[in-house]
Amino acid sequence: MNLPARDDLHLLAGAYALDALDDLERQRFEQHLPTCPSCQDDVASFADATASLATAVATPTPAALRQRVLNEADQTRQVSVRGHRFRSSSSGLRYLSVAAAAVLLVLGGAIGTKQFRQNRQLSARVAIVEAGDARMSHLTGGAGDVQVTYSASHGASLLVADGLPPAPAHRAYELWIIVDGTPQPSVTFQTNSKGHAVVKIGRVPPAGSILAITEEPSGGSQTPTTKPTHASPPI
Amino acid sequence: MRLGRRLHAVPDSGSSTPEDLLVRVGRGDREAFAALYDLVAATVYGLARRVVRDPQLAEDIAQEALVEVWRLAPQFDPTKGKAMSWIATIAHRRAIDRVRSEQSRRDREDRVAVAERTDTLGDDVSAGLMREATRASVTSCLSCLTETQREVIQLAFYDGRTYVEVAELLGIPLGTAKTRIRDGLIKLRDAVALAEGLS
Repeated sequence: MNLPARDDLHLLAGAYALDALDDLERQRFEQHLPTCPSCQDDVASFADATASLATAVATPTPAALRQRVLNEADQTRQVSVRGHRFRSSSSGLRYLSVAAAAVLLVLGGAIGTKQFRQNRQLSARVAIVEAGDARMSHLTGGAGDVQVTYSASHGASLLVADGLPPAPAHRAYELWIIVDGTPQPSVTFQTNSKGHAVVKIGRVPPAGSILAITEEPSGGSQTPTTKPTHASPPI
Repeated sequence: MRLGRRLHAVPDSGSSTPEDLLVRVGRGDREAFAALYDLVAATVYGLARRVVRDPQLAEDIAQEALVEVWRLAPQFDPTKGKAMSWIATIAHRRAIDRVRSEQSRRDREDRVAVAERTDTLGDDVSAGLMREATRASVTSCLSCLTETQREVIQLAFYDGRTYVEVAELLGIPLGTAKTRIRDGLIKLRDAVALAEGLS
């Protein structure tokens, strides 16, 4: 199908809020969303409208449902935003909320039974975050939060930046995977006016490596030319 | 229970907002989850039922969505939005996923059935057993939309159609479907805000 031009994407905020995009367009819109404050505002402001459409059709529940839900919840582990594994995910999730719950929407719908997963084409990004073997590493240092979630089974990682000030003109951030003391260039990225960025990385940092971010010329560098602004503990 | 002593100190669920409850659920509070269930399950189930039509399937979807609310609750941030919106989003996406996977197995040219379903929407809405005030405000909100706006929002939200399908079903250009949905939501949003401001 024809993909919409970038200008057209702004018009999709309504359809996105109603879950009325197909998977491909939803992915595209979710890539656009972190970079577009006006779409973020639209999507956030439509949430209460769609909630009102939901409450309008409230129906008494079957009596047995309550106990089944409570029992299943008892057996279900919650995601952790404070624990070791996802120690730093709270800021990522804050980003998600700021981005009008973009990824959260997908998380909400995407994570579930095996059958559901088989039934759906998940976006690569969500697949990484929801992978059973997903791990997250927090990069600390300068302003803002940067974390990288990686999944060996997907062979890919997802960088989420929050509150990271936009790089100066003609400059970009670059992520490095430092293996045995040697920085390997990974991706360059920009943050939007609110300091957000979501970047997919087509590899997984090896055990013992360190992730670091430097500011580089916008085309990126083969070796770092500035001191890291953010760095992770060893993976 | 490890939280027992503190739990007894907090007010009962009757005076807790959904946001308070969901934040407590995010800390693993099972009693708060039971109280939250009582506040939101009818909406989650009703929405699933409206979208997928089949009561048994709706029950499965509601169960999955509500357990998902439990599982993802630590991610809820009350400064970013309302609990009901957060929960409705999870429930709707779950129901939509199911209905789309079923639709993809069926003949998609089921226009007559879609038209019939749309026609019955008014009855469904009025049959929803919900708090009168909310129902009144939503009914009035829906009625504040133009007929064409209401039609696209109903097809997209309650029938799980993509805006592309909506455009095909109604024989209107894609751009028209997009803007009609967006304009309708803006109107609905403003009407909801107004109704809340008045209540």
